[in-house]
Amino acid sequence: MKGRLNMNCGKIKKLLIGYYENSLSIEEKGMVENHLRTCQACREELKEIGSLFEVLRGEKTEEIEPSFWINLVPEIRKRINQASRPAWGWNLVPKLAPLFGFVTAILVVGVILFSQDYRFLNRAVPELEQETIYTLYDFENTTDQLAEVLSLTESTEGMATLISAGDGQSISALQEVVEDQYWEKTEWDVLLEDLSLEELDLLEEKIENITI
Amino acid sequence: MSLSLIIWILLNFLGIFVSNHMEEKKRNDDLLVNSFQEGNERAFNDLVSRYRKRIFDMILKMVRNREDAKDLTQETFVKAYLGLKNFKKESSFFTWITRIAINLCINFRKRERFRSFVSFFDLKKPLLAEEPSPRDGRKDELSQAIDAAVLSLPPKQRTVFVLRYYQRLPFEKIAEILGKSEGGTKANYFQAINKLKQSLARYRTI
Repeated sequence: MKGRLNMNCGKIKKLLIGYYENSLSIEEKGMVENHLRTCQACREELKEIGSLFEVLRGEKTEEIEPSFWINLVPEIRKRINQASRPAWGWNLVPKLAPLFGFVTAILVVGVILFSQDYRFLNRAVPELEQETIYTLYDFENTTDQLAEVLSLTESTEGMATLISAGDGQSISALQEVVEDQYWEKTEWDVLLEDLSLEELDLLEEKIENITI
Repeated sequence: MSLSLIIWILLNFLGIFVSNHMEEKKRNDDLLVNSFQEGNERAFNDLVSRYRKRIFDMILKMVRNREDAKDLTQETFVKAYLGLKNFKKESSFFTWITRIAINLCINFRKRERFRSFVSFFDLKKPLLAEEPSPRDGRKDELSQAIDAAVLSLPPKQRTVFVLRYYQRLPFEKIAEILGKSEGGTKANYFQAINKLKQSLARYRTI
């Protein structure tokens, strides 16, 4: 019993609201009462709780007009009907029909045109044509393209002539340089268009340094 | 000693009576829910009539505004109607509909905050403070102070306080509604009371 009396205030304080509300078990109630006999702080705390509940009891209850209760079920039913309707009205469908028709027509035309291109791209390529395509990427050919482009600039005129007249060795050396620097570019015209002036200068310099 | 024993016996007797009454009520609710699920629309009207006052009072104490409470009461029953066909009776109807109402109230407060945030940009409406002031001019000063104090509580504490103080629900039931432990709800109530003690200190005699 003495242990209960000396129970710390923290534990008792948690029970004080229940004590005030008379919702504690008999054992808890006894514990609190024993503690309160000896603890002034907890008695003060209990008074504070009591005064708070006194304040809360002073709150005015609000009267609701009877019409609210009378109309409640009809109002709820009205809302239920609204909520049961689809999120966007099907009655808009006739008005939007021309728009749907237009969009569908565009889609159909798009699909037809694309399927034409698709068929063209997927057509069987004859062996001879494949050879021709391959030669487009041949470095002899691309060297000519490079020489043609470079010949347009004054400083590289001589070099362009040299490249265009170059033998297999110069071509493979050029290939190494260009592949090393711009390996991801396969189209020469694309490559040269993308180059800045500095990069073009650098390329020229590397070409000049090729040992033939 | 003998007096407290008599009171204890009387309270227990009262507890058994209340418990039986609640059981009876739950059985009636189940019958109405079954009837509605079998297609009887009128059973839903009976459920509304049975719980409208209780749900409205609870919502009013949560949002502290009559018009908002009226609107949220209707919304609660609309949601209940739409979900009742699939209600599996894992909890009582009362627990279920209270949960719907509580969630609507908490989300409503969030929506209100968002509105006040938006109004900051259009500046057409007066700005609401973090703790919104009560908007009902008919209330006296004390009631307005209580409104502000309760609204300033965090959602969980406010919910537990409303369910416990105004609805007189046992902690066990509150814990079931909120899906929390009984100890957790007791702690929330304790914290709520402590905060209210501070915010209403001006009106206390001690």
